[in-house]
Amino acid sequence: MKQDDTDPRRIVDDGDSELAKLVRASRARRLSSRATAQMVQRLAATSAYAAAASAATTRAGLLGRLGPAKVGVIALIGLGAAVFGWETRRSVEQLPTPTHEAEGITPHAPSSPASSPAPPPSQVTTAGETSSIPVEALPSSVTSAATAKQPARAVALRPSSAASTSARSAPTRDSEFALIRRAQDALASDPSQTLALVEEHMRAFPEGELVQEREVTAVEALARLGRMTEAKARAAAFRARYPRTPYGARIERALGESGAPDGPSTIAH
Amino acid sequence: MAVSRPSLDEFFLTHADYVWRSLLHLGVREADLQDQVHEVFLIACRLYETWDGEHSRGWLFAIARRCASSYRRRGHRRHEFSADPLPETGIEADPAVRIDAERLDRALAALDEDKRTVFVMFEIEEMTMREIAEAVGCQVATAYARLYAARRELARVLSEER
Repeated sequence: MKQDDTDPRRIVDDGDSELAKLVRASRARRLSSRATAQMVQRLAATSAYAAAASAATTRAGLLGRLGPAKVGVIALIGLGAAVFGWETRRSVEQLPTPTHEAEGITPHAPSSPASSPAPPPSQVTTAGETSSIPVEALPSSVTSAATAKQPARAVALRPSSAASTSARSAPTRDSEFALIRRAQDALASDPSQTLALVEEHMRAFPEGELVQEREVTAVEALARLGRMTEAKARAAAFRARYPRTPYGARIERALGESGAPDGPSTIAH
Repeated sequence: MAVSRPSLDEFFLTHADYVWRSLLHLGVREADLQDQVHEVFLIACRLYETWDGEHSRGWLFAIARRCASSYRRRGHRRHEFSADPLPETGIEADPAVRIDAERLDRALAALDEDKRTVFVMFEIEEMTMREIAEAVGCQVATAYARLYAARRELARVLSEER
């Protein structure tokens, strides 16, 4: 538990009031391992789809450079594998026998996570054919060779009905994400291009989901171009519109306003 | 840029329960929780490379709050078109614990969101007041005021219940 010296005592540490009992109960509440496993699978499937769409529009090829974006994608796909290790750990802790057959999740093997991933051969072959992202093209260095195999299985499995519901609204949103990602990708090499993409986003998604991300990116690009007056004006408008933004620190760093509590500032020089 | 971020799988497994509980307290219906957790992590995954790697729970909470608010705006349209039975809620807790937790949920529902959030983050999620103030974007003193007000109101709601 984290506790600052100045923090008040928590209710549960302060006797056995009724409220303390209820808080304890609320702390104990968590997702079932089965639910988490389903969500990991869904996430891997949906994100692989989004990543593939984004890669198609923004990157020459997956085998090109190993950019940070790709590492993220690969790590995410690794979720499909991670669930095995996780399943094993958690079920040892508390669950006797989760039943996963209905969802098409292979029940976890009793052996260690490293040796357990051995899905039925039929699934492996299907995976190679239907995966929306060329898994064989992904480096296996993120975790292990086993990891590279697992995601294919996760991606190939049929998404739940809920997943397909959300997939219906995906294309527009994906293009919004792709656009912002391109803008951010260009930041280091070509901030002017970033600004052009920001403009494009403003036209295409004036009320998009990523307006905050767009504005932060715009401020960063302006700062990189040395257009500090504009950067500051844009930052001020942004802060006024989103006083509770989670990007306050990033804006400050971009403008060189704070000593950036930790981590080297990329624009210090 | 020297940013240390956990791998995404680690990140999800570490925070899934937290995000789930946060959404619950942000007014997402139980039947929709899994969908909304999915949304939050989908967005988090896509923003992952742009995240500065700090204050993971505060960052996730900001995303969760945006998801929950757009969820509330949409209403519950999704279910009107769904012929599927409601998904199992995926809660893991013995029945007595559930009853207690749900009793607290009902009492919390009587608070405004600001107070409820600070109370949940401090008492249930065990975040520090500083983290909380940063996550919700208020002064630490304000967070304190909300916490104490929330405690008082909850005590009153619970005593009236009996």
